Amino acid sequence: MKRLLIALFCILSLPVFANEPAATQAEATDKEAFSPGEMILHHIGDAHEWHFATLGDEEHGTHLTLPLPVIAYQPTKGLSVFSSSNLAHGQAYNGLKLEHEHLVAEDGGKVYDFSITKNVASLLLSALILLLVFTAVARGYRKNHGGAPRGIQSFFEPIVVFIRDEVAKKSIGPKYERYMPYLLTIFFFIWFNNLLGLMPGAANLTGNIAVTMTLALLTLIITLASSNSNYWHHIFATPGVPKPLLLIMIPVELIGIVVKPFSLMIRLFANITAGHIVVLSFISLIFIFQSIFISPVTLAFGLFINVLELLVAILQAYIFTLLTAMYIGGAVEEHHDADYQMGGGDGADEAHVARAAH
Amino acid sequence: MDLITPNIGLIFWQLVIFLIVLFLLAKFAWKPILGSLKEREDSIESALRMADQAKLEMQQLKAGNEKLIAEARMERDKMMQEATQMANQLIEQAKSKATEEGSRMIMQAREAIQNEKQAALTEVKNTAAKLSIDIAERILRRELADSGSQQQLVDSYLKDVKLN
Amino acid sequence: MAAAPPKLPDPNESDRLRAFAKYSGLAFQMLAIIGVCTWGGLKLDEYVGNDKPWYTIGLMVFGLIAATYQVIRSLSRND
Repeated sequence: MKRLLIALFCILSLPVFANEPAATQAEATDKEAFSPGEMILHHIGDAHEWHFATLGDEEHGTHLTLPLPVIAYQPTKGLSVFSSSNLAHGQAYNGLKLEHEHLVAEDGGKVYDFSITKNVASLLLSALILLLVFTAVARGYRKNHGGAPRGIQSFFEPIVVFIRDEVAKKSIGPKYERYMPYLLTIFFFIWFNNLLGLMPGAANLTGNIAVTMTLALLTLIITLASSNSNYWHHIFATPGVPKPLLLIMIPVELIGIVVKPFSLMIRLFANITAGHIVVLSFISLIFIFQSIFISPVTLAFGLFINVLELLVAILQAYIFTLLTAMYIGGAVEEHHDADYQMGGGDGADEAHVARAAH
Repeated sequence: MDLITPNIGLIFWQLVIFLIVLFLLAKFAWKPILGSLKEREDSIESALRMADQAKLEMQQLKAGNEKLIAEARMERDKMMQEATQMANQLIEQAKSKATEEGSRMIMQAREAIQNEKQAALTEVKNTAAKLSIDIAERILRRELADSGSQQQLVDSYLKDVKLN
Repeated sequence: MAAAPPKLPDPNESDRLRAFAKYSGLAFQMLAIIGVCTWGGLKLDEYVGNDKPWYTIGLMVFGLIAATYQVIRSLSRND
């Protein structure tokens, strides 16, 4: 059942994702009409204010918006901090204005935008939730010392144990303990943010390339920092490869080091963004057809995809964590450790898994 | 292209906030959680091991008891067997002794009878001899009186003797 | 969030999930290698100013070979 859902998700999400730019162009020609492409891109993109809903029409209605602080650094003018409400409706403030949600200087100078955008605000919120939830869980362990888990503790304990046993121990081997904090944090960070992103009006944080890039970069840094000589030996002198061929293989292996985190970044970004686009596309159908009769169908499909997204939320968090663990496992693998034959790549630890399963 | 262009500000904030969260969670959440989990698992494992050990000891005890019982049973069987054997031997002994005694008595009796018989026969012979002598005496006396009847008497005696 | 703990896959299912993650990881890796190589080739052609995109073609082929090599190596390593 799960595999079926995943397959369905892949089929559903990819064409919609691919078709998106074309739809945007087509809709852009008709200014008055509802433009789903623009709406979707607006929803999955970042913003300098947190817009929850609009009551009434676009021009005269009430916008339920939380203005967020803008922090900009200009090499010529230095740092400036002000509320984003000053930039509403295309106004300029302090020589800065918003163009398609991009902060630009009126004089065309360079601007480094460190604003607390919608995504950053959501990030702060999720950080707060993570800290509150897991300090509460930890408190449960302290209060309920040695006893069976209770309440919120019993909800998260199987997940923590699962990450430890099925992800860290199997992929990294005996040295897994050092990497547990990172793996757990990354798993719950991605999962919580995926779920937060599914809430109406919330930011699409894990569907933002900057966020996934940072996470992937951290994985890359940790992998490289924990790599041993055996790992580099495999890259610069792959066993069983003749010397002249190494000239080609070394660049390939070096590309491989970068490509692994790169694929992590793209995967999380594409999956979450695609999911959001699919849900929003179904909702857009109501406005495209301008008919109330289509709404049950789109609502049903939208709901279905949304439920699917709940699954994808944890699945993507799991995959990111698992692959991170596998890359780290490849980097710390010892040469003679035949029992922990996990390799530096994705497809290397089947032997170990099979052994551990028995 | 907006979608796949990473924003420097977001990267900065993400890096800062994520690292802070990582540090705080590692210190205040993961460390106690993983520590308690490990501790609990260790205690469960040691409890299980202890239970196993107790079970093993119990089994050993049970096996010892059974061995003891079997030994006792064997001892008893042996004793019974010995007793039976002894009893049988006694009976056998008694029987053979009785038989021996009986046959000896029979033999004695037979001997006595034989002796009696011999004695009786001797007496009969003596009596017969005495009787013969008596008869001979009487004959001798009558012979002196009548030789014919003497002859007659001898003849009749002889006839008697022949008949005997 | 639901009140009940989520059903965790049993070890067998977890292995299947692992395999899924692993192989989908391989696909993404292939795509990424080819994509990075092609992008590099495009940039290089632009920079050098060839009238035919030789660098793009060359790097694309290289990316293809590299991706295939990576996949074969990852798959054959545990034999």
